[in-house]
Amino acid sequence: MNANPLDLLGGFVTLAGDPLALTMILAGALFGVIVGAIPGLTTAAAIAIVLPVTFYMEPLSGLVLLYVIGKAGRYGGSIAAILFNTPGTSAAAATQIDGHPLALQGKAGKAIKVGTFASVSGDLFGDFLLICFAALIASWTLSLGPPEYFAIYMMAFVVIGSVVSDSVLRGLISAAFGILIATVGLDFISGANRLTFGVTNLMGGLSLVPVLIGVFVVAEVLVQAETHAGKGRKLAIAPKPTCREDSMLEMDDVRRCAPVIARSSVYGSIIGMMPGLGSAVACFVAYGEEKRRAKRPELWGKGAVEGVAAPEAANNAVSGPAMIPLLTLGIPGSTVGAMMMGVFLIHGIQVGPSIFTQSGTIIYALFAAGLLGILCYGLIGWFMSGLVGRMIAVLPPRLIYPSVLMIGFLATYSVRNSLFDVGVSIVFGVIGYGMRRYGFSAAAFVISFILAPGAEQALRQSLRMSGDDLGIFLERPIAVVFLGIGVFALLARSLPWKRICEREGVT
Amino acid sequence: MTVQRKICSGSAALGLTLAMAMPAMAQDWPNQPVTVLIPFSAGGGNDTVARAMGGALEEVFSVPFTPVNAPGAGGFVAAQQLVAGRNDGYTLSHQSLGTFMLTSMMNEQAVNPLEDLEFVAQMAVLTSAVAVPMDSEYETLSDLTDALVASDGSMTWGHTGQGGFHHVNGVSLLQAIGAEARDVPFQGSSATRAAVLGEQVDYAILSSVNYLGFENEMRFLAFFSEEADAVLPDVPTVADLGLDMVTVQTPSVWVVPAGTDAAIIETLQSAIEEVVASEDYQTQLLSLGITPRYASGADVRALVETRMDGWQAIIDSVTAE
Repeated sequence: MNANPLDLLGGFVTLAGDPLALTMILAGALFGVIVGAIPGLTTAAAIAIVLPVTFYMEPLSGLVLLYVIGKAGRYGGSIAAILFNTPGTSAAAATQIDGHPLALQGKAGKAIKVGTFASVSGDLFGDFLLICFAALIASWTLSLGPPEYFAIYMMAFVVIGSVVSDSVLRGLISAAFGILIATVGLDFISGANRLTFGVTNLMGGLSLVPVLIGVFVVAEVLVQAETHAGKGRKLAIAPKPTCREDSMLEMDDVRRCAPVIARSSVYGSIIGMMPGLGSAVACFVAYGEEKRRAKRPELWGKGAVEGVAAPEAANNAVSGPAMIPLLTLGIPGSTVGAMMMGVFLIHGIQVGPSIFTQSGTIIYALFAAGLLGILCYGLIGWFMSGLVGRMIAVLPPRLIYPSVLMIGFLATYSVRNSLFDVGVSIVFGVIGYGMRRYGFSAAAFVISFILAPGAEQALRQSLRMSGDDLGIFLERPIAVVFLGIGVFALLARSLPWKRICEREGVT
Repeated sequence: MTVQRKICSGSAALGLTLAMAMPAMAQDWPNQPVTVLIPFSAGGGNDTVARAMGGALEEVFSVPFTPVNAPGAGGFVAAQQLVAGRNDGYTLSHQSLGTFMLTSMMNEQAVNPLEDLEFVAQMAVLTSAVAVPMDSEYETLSDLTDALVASDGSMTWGHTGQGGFHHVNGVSLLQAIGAEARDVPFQGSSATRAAVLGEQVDYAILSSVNYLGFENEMRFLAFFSEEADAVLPDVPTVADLGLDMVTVQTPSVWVVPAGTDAAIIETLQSAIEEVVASEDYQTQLLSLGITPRYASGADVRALVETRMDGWQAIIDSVTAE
């Protein structure tokens, strides 16, 4: 089952003889970047749009299209995050923390190039693991049960805790609110209604897209409306670059980002291997961990290029390894994975441990297409970035923000054709605006909203396995390791000597 | 592409408004995409059946049948969405009838399956089986039941959700042999299968659709039915093994909200009958590990009504534990 270079070479050969599949690589990269860059139109939405078309294609072309859109979409999300302070996809929610300040300094071009460089590197690293170690990783993933997942969720909560606002209390309140909102809907074990107040639309829970659009897009538009009200009409969103270097990726940036990208790619890949965690978690874990390690922590949040590199490398490193549980274990770890699984099924390709022997040709061609897809979206992003950066600097906010708001609402509506969801995004827009005004953390809120359901499920499954004995988390070595990392990170941050060092040392 | 889609759905909405003023619409059904709500996560047995049928119907009617996964609460998340929408025949829901009915008997639901829904037709049937990892020490069902009887009740088994037919069959087995064990619900059959392969649980209740592709990793000990499975005829049934227990199979059916035009239901029903009879569909389902079987909406309703009491007895014993 382990690959050798010849299999991959065979993949490229298969691909070369399939002009439609090659076209799909380019189409997927272009479509993914564009859709990803539109606030609120998530990668999953993009794939849902093209999914019906793929059923009429040859399996390879269909899979290639979806796979490349998934990759390019994760990257494209960073463009909107940097330019408008509204993440194009949930995977880019961490990118905006440093990406947007860079844009405000006239360095939008640089920020996008750093993001492109990081995404491509992270993606290549993830694909390398997928191609070389799929079998090994699959068997490791299997050994993770509910207790391990719960430990991983707890660790993620702690690591991400370091990106919450300056006020610990407000950060915690924001996170608690996110958890509360995540419990809305039918209880997954008993089917009982929780916080639904008899509203049928709430029974499936609040979906991610409307909440995300509300807290990030609608709230940002409200903040902008307030800032710009009564001011001169000529004010642009991001100032023009002051010098050529502002739009360039300099040697200095590369030197600073390379280690960040390397570590973040590893975090992203590990998170990608585990079904259900996904890009949104990866980008925050990488951002949190790199901020903790940072040599210049005072710059983070104010426009550190490393703050763009970390989440971008991590969210794209998820892409390759996320295919491992899907292909070898038939567990779709994400919406994108679930839809790709649909394509496999429709074309009668049996996912499972024997997929590399039974459908090896198509799988290696898919891997090869993934590598070409990375190259494609990288080139698109690299050469478009300067253009986009210059264009945005010229357009006045009174044109841009209303359009962003409109597109956000359209995207929300299109997920389930639901006006209720649009209402949800407006409500969360007001909540998000309030959070910003009073110093609560929208990021902490969103990340708890994303993590809480999985954490709750893992906890309750673990307790059923053990007959309500909490000791189960200490009996399982992998769970202990992850919980230990969490505790260590917590201690390391709260110990007084650490704070003194920081004050005396780096600054 | 996105913009185009927006315009399309905009004009579709306009068309719909006009249609409500024109009762003759049912004859034209379907002239726009049909949404099929699937109450399970993508990739499982029911999801596969619904997608296969949707694909076949796309060819019959030349409009897209778009699958939308709305998992949760044994199918009632999807059912509630269905009932909340229009009864114009453009939104259907797939249901796994055993699981669906059992859930409604276990906890009262906002949707009453017999009053708020119309059954269109049955297209397949799924049967539960006991699955263990390949290197499990249990070679036969009696190996497992002996171990269960001898245990202190701390053995664990996985299923796809409380009140699902897999869960009820598992409980029924434990009652039949007079043993106890801890059940752990996972979300969907893919996650349950992963739990068996990773030996997170001692055994799990799954169906043959989950077996294909994992022949070397997993072993099926017995099916919860009277007759052998069409996909895995060599695996014994609990009846073969002389185990006296109540079992539930689950027919895959499509439902629409009550009050849907009878002409639409009839059109859809005869199209489903045609598809189930076709060789393509039969081969496709068998290769996916599912037994194709047609029944009319009326027959499905009659079956449900006659079996209700028997199922209620199982449910009472499950909830009474």
